[in-house]
Amino acid sequence: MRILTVDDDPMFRELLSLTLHEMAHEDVTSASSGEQALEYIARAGRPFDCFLLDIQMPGMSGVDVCRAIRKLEIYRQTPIIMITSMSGKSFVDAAFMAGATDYLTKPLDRLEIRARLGMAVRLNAEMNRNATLAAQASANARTPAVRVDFEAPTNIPGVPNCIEYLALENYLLTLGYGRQIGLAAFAVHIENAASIFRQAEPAEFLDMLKDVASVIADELKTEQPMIAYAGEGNFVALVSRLSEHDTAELETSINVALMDFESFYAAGGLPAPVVTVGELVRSSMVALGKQVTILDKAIAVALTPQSNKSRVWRFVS
Amino acid sequence: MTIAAGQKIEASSPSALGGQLQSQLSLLRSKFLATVVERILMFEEMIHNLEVDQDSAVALQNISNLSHKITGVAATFGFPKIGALAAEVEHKIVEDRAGAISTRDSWRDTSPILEKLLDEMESLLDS
Repeated sequence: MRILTVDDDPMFRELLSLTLHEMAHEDVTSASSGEQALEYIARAGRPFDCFLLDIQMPGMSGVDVCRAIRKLEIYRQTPIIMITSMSGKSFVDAAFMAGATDYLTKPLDRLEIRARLGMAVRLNAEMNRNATLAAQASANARTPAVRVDFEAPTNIPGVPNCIEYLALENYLLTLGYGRQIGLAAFAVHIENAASIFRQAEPAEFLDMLKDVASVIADELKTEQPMIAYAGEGNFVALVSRLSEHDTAELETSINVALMDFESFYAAGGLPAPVVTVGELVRSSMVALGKQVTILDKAIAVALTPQSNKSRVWRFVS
Repeated sequence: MTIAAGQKIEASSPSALGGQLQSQLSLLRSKFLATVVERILMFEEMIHNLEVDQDSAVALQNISNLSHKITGVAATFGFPKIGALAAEVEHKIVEDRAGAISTRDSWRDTSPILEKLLDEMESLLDS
């Protein structure tokens, strides 16, 4: 795995490189600033497979670097792990919203970094496998190589506040239970996702997901949510527990907005997506210490037929 | 072994790795210890600057930056208390800045933590 580390402190760079070396990660390049990192990325003959970024740096911060990397097409899904001494929620939020996949706090914990890099290795293997399969599938086709697994979470790039599902899980794990108390989650289920998936080309299905993600982000734009696609037609969104929404109204708004795309779908012989919005799930409703389950719970709630969709989400601390 | 920015580290055989790593870590630890005096003097100069001008945002930022460098490595080299105090100094300054706290007020709250950090760093020189 080809790794680029970015930190302005030479001693930390040495320490990190040694640690990675010990873990048999031998292709490691280190940059002393965000600006230098972007130069290395631009000049790289072979793309990097993983980035380890410090946040607090003079000039470009690690969050700025993360955002710049994500704008590059080939690095849309490449694991980006922030390694920082700042554990405050605002820093964690900024990192994940910029596209970070994971977040580690200094000082280095070898077990943690080994685990996170293991995740990066698995992600890279999956990305390479998908790219190979997609290339094989489209060898004789005119359309670009795209492969979508219906059951699996999928990255939806280019939509504000939409991050990878794995990153959303890591975000909750990074926050821990205590700081998760301020959050709530809900899911948006695309009722006819399976039907569209069967009828559409993979690229069309991805476009449909992007439409839905854009509409959800637009409807929630005042909330600064974190949205991710979990697979099987399910989006999840994290919002403040103080959010005030009418579930039925939100569902109607999203479906009405999606109807604007109806003619485009019809031209392709596809139905427009129709969604169900689940009730809000608060972190206090799920088991202590199982941060990720708030997302599972939100999806389960969205898949359960709702008898009272007009309940207003209004929670006070 | 010194690893400059942009430089790649060479692969080693797994059998040689343990001993080699330990010796490189020891070397890095020695380098860290060798910087302690210099860093104490740098902190003292920054404190002096803030005593002269309590609104010097640059001096406070410099304290944050230097603390950041200590935070990243001190615990790994066997000095967890220094690492924790440096982290506390850095976090206080960064969070105050994010909360639009004035430099003067931020320095007032940060200086006792920095004093503890300096005490710990100075105790390293005595040991």
